[in-house]
Amino acid sequence: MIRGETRDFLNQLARSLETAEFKLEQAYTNSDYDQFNKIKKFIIEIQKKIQEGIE
Amino acid sequence: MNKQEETLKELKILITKEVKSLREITSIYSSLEESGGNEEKTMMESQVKELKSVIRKTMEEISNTLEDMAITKPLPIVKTEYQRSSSPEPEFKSLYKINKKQINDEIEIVPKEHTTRHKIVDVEMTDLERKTIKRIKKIN
Repeated sequence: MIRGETRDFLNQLARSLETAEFKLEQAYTNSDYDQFNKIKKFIIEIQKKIQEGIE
Repeated sequence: MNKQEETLKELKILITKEVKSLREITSIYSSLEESGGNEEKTMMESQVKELKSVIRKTMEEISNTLEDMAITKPLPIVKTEYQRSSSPEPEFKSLYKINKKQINDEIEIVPKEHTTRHKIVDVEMTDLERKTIKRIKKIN
């Protein structure tokens, strides 16, 4: 991946991660089990993408 | 603060750390595009390497924390017949209290009808069977 593209990709992932963290906390506060598990899976997916981005 | 809340707080710290590292790495990438000096580039690249290792470590910590985190869905409350009815106690009839007469009155016993007839088929006896029958006859 070209450096510029990697930079944009990582920036996007960072934003998604921040949003996911906020939503995870919301789901926890509201005891929304389904949403909580969904976001948890989403964070794991983001982690995988970050791994790809920094390789 | 319970354990789950502590784990959530820990996760938030880790995610903030990772986001920070990611932002730092992207800003270094931008600087690398602009910089011309070789020495500067080498320095930045070593910084990127270091940040990558930090991110990897944080990622591992995040996945471990996520594994610990789980809010379980409570089992659905299923109302039983007993709970639905307004009567305070379910009605149980003790078997011992039902006398024989009652049973006879309540249950009508219908004899079974024979729907199939068994055919008697002539089967040839074996020698051994014949001998056995002879022996029995002698005894009697």
